[in-house]
Amino acid sequence: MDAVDPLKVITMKTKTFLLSFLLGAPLLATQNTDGTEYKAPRLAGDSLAIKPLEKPKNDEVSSLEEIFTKGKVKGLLRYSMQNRNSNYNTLEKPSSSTDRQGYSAFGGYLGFESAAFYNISAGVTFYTAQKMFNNDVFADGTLGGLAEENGKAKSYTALGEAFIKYKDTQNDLRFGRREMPNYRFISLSNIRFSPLTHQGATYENTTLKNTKFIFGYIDAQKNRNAEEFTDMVNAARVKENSSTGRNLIRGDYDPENYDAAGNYVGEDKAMYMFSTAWTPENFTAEVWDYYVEDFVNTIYLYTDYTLPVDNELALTFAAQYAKQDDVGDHVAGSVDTWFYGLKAQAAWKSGITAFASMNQVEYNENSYDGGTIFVRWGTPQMFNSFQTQDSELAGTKSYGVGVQFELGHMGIIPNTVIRFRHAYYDMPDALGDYFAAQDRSETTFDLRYSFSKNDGFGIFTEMKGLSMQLRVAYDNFRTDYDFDAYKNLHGFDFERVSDDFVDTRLYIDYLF
Amino acid sequence: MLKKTLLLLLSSLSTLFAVSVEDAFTNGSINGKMELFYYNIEKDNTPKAYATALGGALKYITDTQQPFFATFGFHTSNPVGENENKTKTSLFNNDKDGEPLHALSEANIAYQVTGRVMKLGNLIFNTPMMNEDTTRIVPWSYQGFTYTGKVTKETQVQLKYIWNIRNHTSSEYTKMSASGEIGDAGITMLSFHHMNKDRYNLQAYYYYAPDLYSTFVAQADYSILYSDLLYCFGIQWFKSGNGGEFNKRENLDGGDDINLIATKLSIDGDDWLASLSYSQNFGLSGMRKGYGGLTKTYTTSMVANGRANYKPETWMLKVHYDLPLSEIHSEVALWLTDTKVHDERGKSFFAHYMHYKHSFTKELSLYVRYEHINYDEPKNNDATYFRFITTYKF
Repeated sequence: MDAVDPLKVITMKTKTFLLSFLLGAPLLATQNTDGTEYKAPRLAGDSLAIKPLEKPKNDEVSSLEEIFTKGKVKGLLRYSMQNRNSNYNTLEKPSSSTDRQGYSAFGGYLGFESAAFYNISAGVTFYTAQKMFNNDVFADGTLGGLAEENGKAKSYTALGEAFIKYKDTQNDLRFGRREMPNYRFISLSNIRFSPLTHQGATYENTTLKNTKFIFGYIDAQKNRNAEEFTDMVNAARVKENSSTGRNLIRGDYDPENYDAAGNYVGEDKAMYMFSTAWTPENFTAEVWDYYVEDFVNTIYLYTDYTLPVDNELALTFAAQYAKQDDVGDHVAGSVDTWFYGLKAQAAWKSGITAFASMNQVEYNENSYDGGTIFVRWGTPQMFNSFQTQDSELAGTKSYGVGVQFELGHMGIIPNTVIRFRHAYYDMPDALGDYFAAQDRSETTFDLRYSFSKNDGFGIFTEMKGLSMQLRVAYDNFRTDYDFDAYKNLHGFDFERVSDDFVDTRLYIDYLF
Repeated sequence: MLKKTLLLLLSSLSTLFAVSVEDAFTNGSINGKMELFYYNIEKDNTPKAYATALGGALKYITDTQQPFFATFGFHTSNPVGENENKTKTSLFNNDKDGEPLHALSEANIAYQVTGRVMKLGNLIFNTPMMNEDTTRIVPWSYQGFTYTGKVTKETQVQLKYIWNIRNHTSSEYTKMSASGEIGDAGITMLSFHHMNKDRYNLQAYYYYAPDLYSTFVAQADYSILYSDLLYCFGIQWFKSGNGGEFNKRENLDGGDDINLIATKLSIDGDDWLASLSYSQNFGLSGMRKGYGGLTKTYTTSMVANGRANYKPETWMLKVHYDLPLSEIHSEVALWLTDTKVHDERGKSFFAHYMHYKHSFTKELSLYVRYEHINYDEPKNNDATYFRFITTYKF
């Protein structure tokens, strides 16, 4: 076999890629390097639940002694850092060199799940993030990457999973605390060091073909950098007032439920969850309901349809709608808001995926925080939830575009996927708007590199072995507002005044 | 040419690294335990304390056949059911008023060559004045560097340097030892251990902690089989000094005036064991926990011991009897402790202790422990301690 000049190969592949890109037509293979069938990524936004690693099925054993000896181990070693160099709060606090947020940490998780005995198994997972290098430079906080104490970054260790599971071909019943990656508003939001985990009971049934029913009772959530679980009102980050003194709660509520700092200290509240999903070929329709007692009910509808244009190109169209209303004793006052979104995606089997999307959120000054959607139980579901902007704030109209190149699959740079996105967030910003916010845009770049796979993965795919992820976002805020006039009119500062900032995140993972 | 060579080199290194690391994890091993622990403390004129903890440990070690290997170990202890004054049981996170305790007890990387091992990171180990203390679910652990090497087939030396310590009721590594702050100088330990498998066992340790206090420990044990009975004789000496900035001489857990001599004689029969121990601390400093864990003296019961401050002199009788109830192990024990102090500030007492230990299988065991301490002076509250522990190891 002749020796291959790697530089020549790279030059050839680059030309092929450029030609492919300019023509907008696929010229390359439709199979992954390892022989598996190439599948276009699901809608390429952060907004969707990230598909978790396909876990090996638990061994079924016939004796109690074997449930531990044939159990499965899972582990992640991770170095991660985030740096957000910003001019936040230019009105309340003049910017300075200390305006940095972020963290630098090493850790991961270690978990064990027993083998199944009569379809019953149990598992535990510990999560930890330990400070690494100089965290004192992040004087403005860790952004949830590490715990914090007296303004200083702090390591944490938590028992994030401890569950019992019954699973057969059609039924999946779990009790305890665990990662819940696939329940839309309840999901991992794994964008710092550790994911969110939730506690409760869930039941999934797939008796009917292409149909899944899910029932859940979730009474607590462990935030990313927390050691303990908190109830579902605190998990939603409900506050009585904003940092500038703006009243977030609208309508009647019991102030006794809040402490002097505006944090919810009332009775713990749990969430009841129901979902049905119908997924015949190329089509998805999902209905979700999340009912948090005495707080808020969320109805979420989602649908997508994939149109295979030819053997190389697939178009996907998606729509989403959610409605939130207060319920019971309405501990967070009145909630009456909604959002919707539309998205179109084109995926070529050559490894190029492009999309465009829009979202709109209700603006209602009689709803909590002007109609801002409660999303902090998981990954924000809005199509235009990008790296730092989630498109969930009151009255947001957002428009986003993006393109992803699977460079390994295209034969240009082995083992690599990159993605570019840009979105504009049009906010309610009239002087009289009580919940006014600055218009802003976000441009992002993501890179994922695997040391073990050439292709067949995306920016967030869980992969065994060593991999690296780099994410950079540039956020630009409009600042040509009359902030003083706003303060004179409303009696408090314009909320969270920002200039522009760069948010950088790095993950080096070894998953086993 | 240079570029090609560089690319090939990088490619080879990448492949080598990937294969080697993958092997290390593929051939790794995991073990763990689950534990249910009930603890009740009753003292005269003091509110009682009781709690039940459910927890355990999970530990993963990469392939130890490779020169480099890593260990990751977590411990957890969570309150379940009713409890009162649970922080007094030392089962949970006392930094957070008795909330669940989760600790990264081990996270270290090791390098080994024949007969020598170096480890760096979070460590668990056992030495007389600095150890894990297995009397709760979550042990003590230490952050630092350790070297263990064999000098001869029967002789081993250890060097440790510890800069942070995590106590068994906390998840944080800090400069705080059981006896006080260790300062920036930390604790350096050098030890020598010579073990003749059939006859004798010689150990010596020196702990250098200039900001706290330094300690020398020596121990010799000798055993001989005679008429189907195993006779063992041992002697220990603990001596501290060089008090530093954070030293507190009269501290119960340790100070610069420890001067304790202990001796033990035991006879081990087929299904029974009896031992008589004696210790006297001629110093004002106690040595209950030393730098961390529980100090390993012969006169140690569940709670009662001869390691306190203010010059205690202690006799301890221990009798164990194996019960024919299990194929693995089943025993009952009675221990009696008599302590008299030679300083009026100390506490003299008499204690009796009983336990029942039963292994249902290799993995599953039960351990029931009871101790009552009766103090000579009425001002010191008599105390009763009861622990019920079930453990499953895998």
